[in-house]
Amino acid sequence: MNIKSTLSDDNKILIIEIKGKFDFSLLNTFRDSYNKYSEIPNTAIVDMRQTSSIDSSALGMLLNMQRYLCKEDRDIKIINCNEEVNKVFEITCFDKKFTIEKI
Amino acid sequence: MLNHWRVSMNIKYLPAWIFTVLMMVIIFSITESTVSVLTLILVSVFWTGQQFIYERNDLKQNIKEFETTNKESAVDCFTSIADSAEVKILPILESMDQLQGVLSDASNKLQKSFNGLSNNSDQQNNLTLEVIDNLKSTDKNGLSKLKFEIFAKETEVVLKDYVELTVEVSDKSVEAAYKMQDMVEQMDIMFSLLGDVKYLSDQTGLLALNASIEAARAGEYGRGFAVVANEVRELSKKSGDLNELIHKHVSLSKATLSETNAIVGQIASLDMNHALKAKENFDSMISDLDRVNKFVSNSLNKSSDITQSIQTDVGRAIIALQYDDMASQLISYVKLNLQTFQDDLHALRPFLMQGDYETAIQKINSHISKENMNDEVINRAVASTSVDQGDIELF
Repeated sequence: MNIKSTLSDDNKILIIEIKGKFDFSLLNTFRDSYNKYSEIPNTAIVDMRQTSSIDSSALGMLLNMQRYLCKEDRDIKIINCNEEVNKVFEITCFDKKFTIEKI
Repeated sequence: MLNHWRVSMNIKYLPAWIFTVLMMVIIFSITESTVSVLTLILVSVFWTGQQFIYERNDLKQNIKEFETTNKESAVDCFTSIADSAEVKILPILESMDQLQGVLSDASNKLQKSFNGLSNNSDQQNNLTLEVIDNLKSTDKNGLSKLKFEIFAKETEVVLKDYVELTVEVSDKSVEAAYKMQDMVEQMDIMFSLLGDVKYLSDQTGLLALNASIEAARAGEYGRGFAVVANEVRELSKKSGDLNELIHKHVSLSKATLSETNAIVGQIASLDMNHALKAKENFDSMISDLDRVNKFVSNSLNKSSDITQSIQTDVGRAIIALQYDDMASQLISYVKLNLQTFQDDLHALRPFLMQGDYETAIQKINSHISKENMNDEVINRAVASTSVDQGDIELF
């Protein structure tokens, strides 16, 4: 499976791991990974350690996820991006919309 | 011995001879021995005294003559020195004049040259400052004046807008795709419902068939019922057909939706690579521009400093040219001295011509002592011979 989604025990933190190319083909799988839970988690962490590349549809998907989880105290972190992915986030000013960290 | 005789034969010794003869007479007349001895003593004393007096006078005469001869020869000597000096002084004075002329000329030329250099350096500096100004390229509002920089900034904005647009397009596309997905799910429900409807109509058909069979069994009385059952069968068939038609169209819709989804997917996946490359190139170009700007600015500032330093050096050179002033004054001093010397020599001539050696010698002596006094005064005044800034002695 390209996307693995795990929810922490206390239902507060959702971790989504993306493997390989993050593009339009993952459209529905990605949505399913966060909207299948009855209770909306507080924090979502998108782990891109195994993500090779992203295209602009991925950006759209992330923005849609942000809208779905939308509430002031809900936080979305994108972590472990490689250089290419970081570049894309940089020129699209995504670092201002999401918390991008390197753990 | 012979000389002495010759001397004593001189007329001036006449009184001595007369005295001698007198004493001889006395000796021969008075034969007293003591008187003879006394007279002899007197004679010798007289002769000695006379000789002494004459020799002294002779000496005085000799000294006087010697002095006069000396004075004459000294003055003659002096005259010849004065002549040769006058002859030599003239070309020296001429040389001094020439020297002053040469110095003045050279100094003027040098000064002109340095002034020219200073002016050129000034102009160069102004040009440099202008270039710095232009390259700094911000006007009084702090906004960029350079067309290129303005263009670059505008391009940056366009690029940014393009990227934002791409992201927004992607965002909306994905949203639309999700909605379409929801529609697909609805359609699937529709299919399932249609399936139910088909089942219902099939069941209705079967029931109608059963009804027909029952009607046939009922015979005469079931004929009306058989007709109704038939109609129902017809209806259910039609319903089945309709169902199939709906199914077909819904399928078509779903297919179209899939195609639309794919298209939307393409829109959502617009190629970011061009934008990425463009932004990268752009950023590196801007930083390059910055670097060049800084380097040029630095270099021009250094150049400006060097110009300042040139100005300082030129200033020092021009001041150093004051040597001409000093040299000129020294030459004038030499000229003056020579001129005075010449004049003094000239002033002495009349006395020498007249043979008034005493006055001439007096004048020479007094002149020499006066000269010595002057030299002391002048030497004290010309203590420094180096031309340091602000240290020029005027005398």
